[in-house]
Amino acid sequence: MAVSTPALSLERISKHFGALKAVEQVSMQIQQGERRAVIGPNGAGKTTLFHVVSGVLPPTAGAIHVFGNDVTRLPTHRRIRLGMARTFQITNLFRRLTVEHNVYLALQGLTPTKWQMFRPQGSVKELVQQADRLLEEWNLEDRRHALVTELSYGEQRALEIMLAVCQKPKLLLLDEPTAGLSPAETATAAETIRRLPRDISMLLIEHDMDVVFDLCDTMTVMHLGEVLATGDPASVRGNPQVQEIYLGEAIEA
Amino acid sequence: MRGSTKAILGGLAFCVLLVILSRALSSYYLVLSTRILIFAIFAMSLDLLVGYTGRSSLGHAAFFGFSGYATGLFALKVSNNLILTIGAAVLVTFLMALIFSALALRARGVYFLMLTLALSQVIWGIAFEWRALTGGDDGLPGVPRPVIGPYHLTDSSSFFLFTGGMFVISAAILLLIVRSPFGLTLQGIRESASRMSALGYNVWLHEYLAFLISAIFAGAAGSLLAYQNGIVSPTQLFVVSSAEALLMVILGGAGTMIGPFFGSVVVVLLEYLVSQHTERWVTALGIIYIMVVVGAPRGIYPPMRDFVIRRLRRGKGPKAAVSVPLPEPAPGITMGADT
Repeated sequence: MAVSTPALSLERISKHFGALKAVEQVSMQIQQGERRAVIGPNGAGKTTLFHVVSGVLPPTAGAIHVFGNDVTRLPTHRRIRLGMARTFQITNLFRRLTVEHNVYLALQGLTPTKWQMFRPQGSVKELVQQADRLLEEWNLEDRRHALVTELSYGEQRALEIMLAVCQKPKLLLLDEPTAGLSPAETATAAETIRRLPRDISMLLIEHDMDVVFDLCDTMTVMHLGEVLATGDPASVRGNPQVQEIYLGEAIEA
Repeated sequence: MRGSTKAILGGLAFCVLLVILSRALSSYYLVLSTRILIFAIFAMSLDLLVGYTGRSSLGHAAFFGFSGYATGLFALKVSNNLILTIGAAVLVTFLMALIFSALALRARGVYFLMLTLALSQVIWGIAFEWRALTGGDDGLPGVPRPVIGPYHLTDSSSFFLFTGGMFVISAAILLLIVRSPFGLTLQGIRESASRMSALGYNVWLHEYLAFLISAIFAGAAGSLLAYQNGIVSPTQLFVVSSAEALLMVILGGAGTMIGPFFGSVVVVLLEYLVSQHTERWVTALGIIYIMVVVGAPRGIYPPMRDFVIRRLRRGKGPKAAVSVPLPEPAPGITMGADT
């Protein structure tokens, strides 16, 4: 392939809430197949940036391109149709529906099936087969008829990722996929993410540095809404400014 | 498909029951039963919004009453053919719903509740003030008894049967819709609109369609009530009508589609009993409402269903758990993490 268009390109994105500059002039390019982590202390603007990229919040200024398409003013669902998918930091599932129905909703989101009004859900054979396969792959087949509220937190986090992945996205935004998980569960989740197809470009917010170093090719450090450093994990780790914000306040005059 | 066979058998049994009732009941009780069926259609149409889409509307009487007036005017001025009238009234209501829903869906949660209330009261206000067209607070009297071709539905038995037919058709279509992929989509929106957008759904458009479908059935019910009463009064458009329908949905069991039928049975019968002794029906309505929210938040149908399922299941081994909706929150409080 010739020089390919980036999977995601942010050009000088700003998001202000009144006087608060949550995100300020952030530019970023994620190449196809790249796995990028965004780290930074609380309040750095990571999740706000995610909301802007996924279309939940409109940017105050700047432009967003997904695979070369300008999506700056597009609503979320139109961006998703370009091959984007996202997970949520705070588990966001269909709580009073069964696991199976959660998967159906994810599978039919990008198909015309979702408009069908006059046939029972279970009669869409293709969907049922896809769901069967996925539930087996993700070790959830015996939980298929359980309500989401009956799942353990670890299972819910797994389902959170599964819903985003089962539409076969080309660009995946993961908002703290291991938030609140035990060390063992974190390892499982990281392994799950690592095994995703290599051609999926990823933007990952994460606090667990082991996970970041394990999964990502490149890192961007945000601080107070701005990009502080970008590069491969080793060089970012060696950056004195990064050490400063993570290891404590610098001795300033 | 065993499930659908059962549903068809259940529907047929219900039809037989209606025919038997139409022969057995006295004219007085036929009128009462017809009222139950009409309000059941109305309440089921509301359940599509409240129970499935998670949109608690306090303005559903707008469709119900608007269609009533359309029916009255059409029957008086154009034709008294029942099929034509209902068709015309539903069409006009649908057109009104195109605008009403677009305006109402601009808000969420409590604001949505207030907006639907305000919009429906605007329509009520118009009906109340525009005496030349609607008769104002006197209502629109003299809606003639309906006719279908050579058949006159003058007696209460034949009108009861016609209403029963409308009920069965409405229930079948609505049940089919809520069990379809589209119906699941609506439930997904109820649970989390933000997740639905993140899965590529145009949430607004689905909600809009749900509203329009709901308006069609509310309109059909409103048209039937106009014929049933022989008069269209602003009451049919009033907020109390909306609240009654909402109570039927919540009392019966929101998100079950069958529940609102039982809700209609209970509320219409209670209304009949209470109004024999006092004029304070609205007060009673309020008390029942509180009792339901406190005492039976899931409504009366889900516990009944669970009981029957448990009885039937003996010897069959562990079957898949039936997804039973949890308590519906009081209307106005929408679920899900919405921005």
